[in-house]
Amino acid sequence: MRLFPKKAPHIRSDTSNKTVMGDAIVTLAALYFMAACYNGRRAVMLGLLSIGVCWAANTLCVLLRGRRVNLRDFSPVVTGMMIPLMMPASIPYHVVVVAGLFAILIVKQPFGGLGNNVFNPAAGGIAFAIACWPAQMFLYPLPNATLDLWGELNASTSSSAAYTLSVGGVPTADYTSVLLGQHPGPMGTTCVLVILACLLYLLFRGTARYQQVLPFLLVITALNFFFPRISTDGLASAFYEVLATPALFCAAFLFNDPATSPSRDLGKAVYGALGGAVVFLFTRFGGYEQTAAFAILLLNALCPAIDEVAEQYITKKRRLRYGRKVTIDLSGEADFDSDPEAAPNP
Amino acid sequence: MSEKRTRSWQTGGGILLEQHKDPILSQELEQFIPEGRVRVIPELRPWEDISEIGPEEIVQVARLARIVDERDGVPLFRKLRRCMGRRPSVLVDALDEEPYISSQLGPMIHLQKECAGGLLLACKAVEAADSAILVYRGITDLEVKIPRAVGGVPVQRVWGKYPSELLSAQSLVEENGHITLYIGACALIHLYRAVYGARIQTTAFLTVAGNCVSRPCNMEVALDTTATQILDFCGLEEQPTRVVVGGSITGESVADTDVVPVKAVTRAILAFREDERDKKYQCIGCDRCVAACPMSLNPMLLYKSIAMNLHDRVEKLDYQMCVGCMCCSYVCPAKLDIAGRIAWYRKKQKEVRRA
Repeated sequence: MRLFPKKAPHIRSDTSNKTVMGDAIVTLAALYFMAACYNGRRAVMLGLLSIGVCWAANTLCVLLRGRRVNLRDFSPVVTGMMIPLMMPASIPYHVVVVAGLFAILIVKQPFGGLGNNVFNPAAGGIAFAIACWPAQMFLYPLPNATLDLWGELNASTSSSAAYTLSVGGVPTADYTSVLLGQHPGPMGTTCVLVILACLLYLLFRGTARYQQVLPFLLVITALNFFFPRISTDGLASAFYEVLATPALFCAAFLFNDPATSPSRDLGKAVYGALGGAVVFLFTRFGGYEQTAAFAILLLNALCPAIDEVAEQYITKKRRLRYGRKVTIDLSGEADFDSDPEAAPNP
Repeated sequence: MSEKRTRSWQTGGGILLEQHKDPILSQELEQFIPEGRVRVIPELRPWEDISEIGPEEIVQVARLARIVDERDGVPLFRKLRRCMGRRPSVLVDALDEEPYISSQLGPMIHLQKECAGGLLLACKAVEAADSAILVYRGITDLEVKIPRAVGGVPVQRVWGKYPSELLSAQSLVEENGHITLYIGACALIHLYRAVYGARIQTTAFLTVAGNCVSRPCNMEVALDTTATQILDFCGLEEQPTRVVVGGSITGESVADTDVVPVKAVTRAILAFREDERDKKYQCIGCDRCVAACPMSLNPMLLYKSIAMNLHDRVEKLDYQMCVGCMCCSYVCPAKLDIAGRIAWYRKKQKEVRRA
């Protein structure tokens, strides 16, 4: 039987880039479903527009670089889905378009595209939108206010819990409404229970790594518990700061982008803990009510340094460990006819 | 005893694999040995009891019977000779941690008497300090029960993800002044047959499996039988696209099954039919390969550094410590040939050094 020899390994795991991106898409879709329930079809329309813009920009860049377009590359879809979720459902369409273009054309592709980007594209796009249109970005429609798909929006708007916290007030939403997302805020970041379920799913699938997410959440919770900026006890402070702001959404999605995370578990833990602290400091001393995107961009810049240090540490440990074992070479001894080591006959 | 030593193979990397060992392992061994292939050592009178034979005689019988250890391809007598009088720990390799393969574990379970007898002989030859049979603990889909002891020798379930066997691949290891000798389970069966039956090793144990094989099984096959003959014996449900000789992960994909003979080290013949579509993606930096590497290397960085010809960087990343287990390629969601590229670089560097 004649065959073409194939490369080893002869069995492969079921995970592929498609399933990794698919995990993110499935979870983000759940958030779009919630957003559509609260604010109507406009939320979905924003998502579709953003996906379309990101995908088109990405394809254009790939073609410009003379590469073949891979239709199974869903990374621009994930970026496109994340951007509007950090924005209010009432955001004008052009903001989403510009944010998407900035994310792909400035933050992702100039660095070499998929897997090579230094900064998280979605975080970049959101930060750009905040810097350009802070007024529109921080005015949120009330939950359950169904928005028109097109034209002038006349739904009543309000500021978010993050704003109340930033001016030292206690958010009016009670614990249950915060958990259910019944308070004004970015359209994908308010449904805390759904985000938690998504995070658990991503952790279970190995798409998000607990080594990074847990230190992040622990540090940010602990810091807000011990240093509350509102006049409540630490517990309430930690609850509102983590669950009523986009911190949890960032932990589950933006912060977990594999390309902009350290590769070693040790590095991930340090990066996660550092991330918690940086997000805390940005929220406390930053100029905007929502600064997680900026904090993540800063962290992304630190990632290669953390990676380098972790790599050096692991290399040192590895050399120490495997230097002690001595293996005795037995190769080149497939000869039965002579037995040179046998004791000579007396 | 060697619990600590065997555990220390694992550094946290590695991967858990679905083993696909049953129902092959539960079935009796098949035989494919043509008439006249069983040969005996001329002028050798078989022994009847272990007390009658001395260490030197055991080594000589292993030599005359031409027993090759299936674990590493080294003649068994050489391994025994190296350890004589040095009181090593003798560990029997019945690990079979690669999916589909149970060509050591199967004979160990079904030919317990011969395996244990062979081990006692080997232990006597080298005056072993202690001994144990190693079985991989990660096999979860077993119907057959693995005994706790075989002929009085404890069976140790080695904890660890793939590739704990490969990490111990060096068959003679010296650590803190103590020697550990690894011997394959099948070599011990052949040693038993040689001492008590004066038989020369003319067969090998192997697993025949894969999604095209209609009757997957563990077999004892005469040496030099071709892969085609074995696949015909077991039957093919459909034309395979890939026939692998060796392991399902590290084995070699063959171009012509008619010219591939069974050797003493052949552990398996696997026939797969798979989707041929191109499934290549780009690296997304997911770090799965880094988490999987049992030597705690950074395969992703090595892959990229080799592609960019950054020799100093590759050197710093300890590429020569790669054991070739292919965990990185297995887990890679982009289906990149990471292990292949590192192996290629190692080979190239060796040639450069030689020149």
